[in-house]
Amino acid sequence: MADPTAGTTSYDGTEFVLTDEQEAVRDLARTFADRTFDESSVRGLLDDPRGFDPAAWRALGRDLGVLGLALPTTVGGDAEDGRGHVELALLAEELGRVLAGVPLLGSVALAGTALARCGDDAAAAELLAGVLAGEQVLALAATDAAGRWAPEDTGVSLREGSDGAVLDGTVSHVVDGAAADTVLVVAQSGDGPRLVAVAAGTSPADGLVVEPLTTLDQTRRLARLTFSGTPGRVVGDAGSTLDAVAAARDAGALVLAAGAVGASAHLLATSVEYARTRLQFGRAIGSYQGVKHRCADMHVRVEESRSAAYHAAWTLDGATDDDVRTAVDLATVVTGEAFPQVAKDTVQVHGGIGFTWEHATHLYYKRAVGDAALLGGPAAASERLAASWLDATVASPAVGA
Amino acid sequence: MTSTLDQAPAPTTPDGARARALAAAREVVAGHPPTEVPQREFLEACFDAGLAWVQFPEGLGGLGADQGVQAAVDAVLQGAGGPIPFWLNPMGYGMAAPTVVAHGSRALQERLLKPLYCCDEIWCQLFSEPGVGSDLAGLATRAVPEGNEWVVDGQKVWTSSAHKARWALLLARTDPDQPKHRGLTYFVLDMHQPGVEVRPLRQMTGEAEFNEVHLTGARIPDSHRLGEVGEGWRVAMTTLMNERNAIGGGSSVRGSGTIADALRLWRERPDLHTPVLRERLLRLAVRADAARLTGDRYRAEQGGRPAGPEGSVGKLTGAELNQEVYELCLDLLGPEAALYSGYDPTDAPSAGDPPDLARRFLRSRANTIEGGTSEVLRNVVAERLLGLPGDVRVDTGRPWKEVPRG
Repeated sequence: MADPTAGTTSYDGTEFVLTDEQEAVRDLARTFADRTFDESSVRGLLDDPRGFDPAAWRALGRDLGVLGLALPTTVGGDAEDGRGHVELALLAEELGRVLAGVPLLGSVALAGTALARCGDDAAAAELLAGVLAGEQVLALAATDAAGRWAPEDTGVSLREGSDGAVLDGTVSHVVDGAAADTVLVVAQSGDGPRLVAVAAGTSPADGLVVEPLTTLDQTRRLARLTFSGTPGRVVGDAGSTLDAVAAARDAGALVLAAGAVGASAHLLATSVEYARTRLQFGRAIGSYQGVKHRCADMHVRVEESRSAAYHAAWTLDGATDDDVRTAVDLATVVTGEAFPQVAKDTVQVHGGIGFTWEHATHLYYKRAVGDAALLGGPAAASERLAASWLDATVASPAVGA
Repeated sequence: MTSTLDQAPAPTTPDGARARALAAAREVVAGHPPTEVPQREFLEACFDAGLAWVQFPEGLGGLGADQGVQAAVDAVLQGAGGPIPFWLNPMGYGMAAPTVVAHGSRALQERLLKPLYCCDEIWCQLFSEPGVGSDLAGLATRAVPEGNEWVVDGQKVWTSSAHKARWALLLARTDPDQPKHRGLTYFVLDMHQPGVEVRPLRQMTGEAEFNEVHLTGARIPDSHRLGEVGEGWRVAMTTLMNERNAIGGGSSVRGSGTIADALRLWRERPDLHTPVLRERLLRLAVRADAARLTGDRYRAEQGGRPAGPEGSVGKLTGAELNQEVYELCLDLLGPEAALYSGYDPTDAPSAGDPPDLARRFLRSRANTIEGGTSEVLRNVVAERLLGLPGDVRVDTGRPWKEVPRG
């Protein structure tokens, strides 16, 4: 897949067409999100030290049973044959639409996927049981002390203490890290990177310090974790760690991209409604082409975001001929450009009210900016795409006239 | 396709229709390999197998299948080396055929569709006039009834393929006392008659890709009218939606289409690489792929439904992307971009020549004008898809003949 002309996606007629079951997941998620998260409940969580709604999390896990949709049955989830990513994307889209305060990204997409691929299904199932029930929160620490996504070397070291494995070091920008009951840490050992489960939450392991960070996006919490001789439990195979974390990043990037689709679509709907009803010079502002054409461009961006995010989901499900890394990076870049732009356009369409604290637009705008700083963001994804599409040294036959 | 009593009935599920269409496509490429047989034989075989437009009725080049099946069929036909039918007869394949199927009599459909698909008869479109570009409904070409015929007088412009066309889609005014949208009627005009004069119109590339068409007492039998008298605008919408879909529909192969020219130049000319141009090309390649996937998604979601205003999205993005792709190509070429292959119409490249990037660069200026300007398309997206209110209009409700023009 070094060359874009070689990366053909044969059109198989099922990509982009939801099954009845997938439509049911979307409808269920939308109903739940609309019922559970209105603007005041989202704002209520801004000052909540945990940053999420445990009742909503329980409802997603226990009542709706949707947290295991993309996790394999071998670890307690519902997914067969590596599928379920379309369902995960639909869930993330609906939760993103309302900026739902639930730890889907850290618990399910990142930690859940890493555990599912770690090579020890029994340990994974044990650690995931509480998450799937919506009772517990997991986080994946694959960043370094500066918060950069760095699974090859997080700067946390693993050594054998008198009573088993202990960790030393610092990681920052851990998604859902302050809410987590257990943190899955990527630590450097003599055998290379390993996954180590560390107790956190209400009964943290010795020597673990969890500092919630003041984030630009108050709806998505990050934490700095310092380990000083902190005991943990090594899970999975040494050889699987980096592949497991790479898969986790793919699933995490899908959740971010799909969440961006939902949030962007919400912003567009808000802007259109405002442009239809706000009158200036005796007319709806949406009748002026200056405003109307901005809304049209927002629509194009939302549509392209949806196409790219869904394509990544179908590709992760193995339902396209595309390369997973390419499809996921494309979704990251397309949504990473569109979401902030749509949010900025929303501020502009709303005029002064869009700049106020009282109006919800800034919450979405900050979500867009904050997301771009996670998992390497659109910058790293663009660089990988450019390396793959443009830097290949071997010329291949051109396609097209 | 023939059917006999001992054959299983044709499957009716979407998957069945798809499987049946794909089987027919494989049969056609096996029986008439497009790289070996004359093009006409291949096209006729495709038409007879219902693969020309799978969503059309059987016997008219279709199978009555979902339109989404076409992409899978095309992948088989074109994968075996078959031509892209749209480019053989663009106005015919992409616009005339869907309009004739939606609004023509069965007799007219049977007369016109097969020669259209087989390229025995090329089509053109007589819509724009010197006085109306975006405001198409304000057109002035008159059609007056006379017995069983209509007599047409006026001038059309921006007509591609007019010099080789046998048939034209014509929108003409039949009642100037009505407000502009209500006084129009839609016809199929025979271009081979004395009242039709075609004059080439030279463009900034130096070539004359388009024509002016002067209509002076041209005659049309009433049986070649599409839709009712006064319903021409509604019929024209079928054509225009399909035009935007055809232009904006794009390819479902990554890196094909216009972006291929920039990618090829990048690959073949490492001496031109700079970090800034690399970033620009990557951004364009990403946008091209997002647009491609959106076309795929719309086709898949559209299923068998007729073309709608969502096709405007692809036309809008495709046109602006084309322009930026060729701007990048010229920036890559550096001093070479200061030269041109020649403005004499005979200097225009022929099929098989290497891409003439400077010519394509100049040509792309028309992309945001032809087939609906980007301004009109943004209005369509905002008003038809998003439900924003229309602009203030001063001509609605007034008889066409009282509206100022100029």
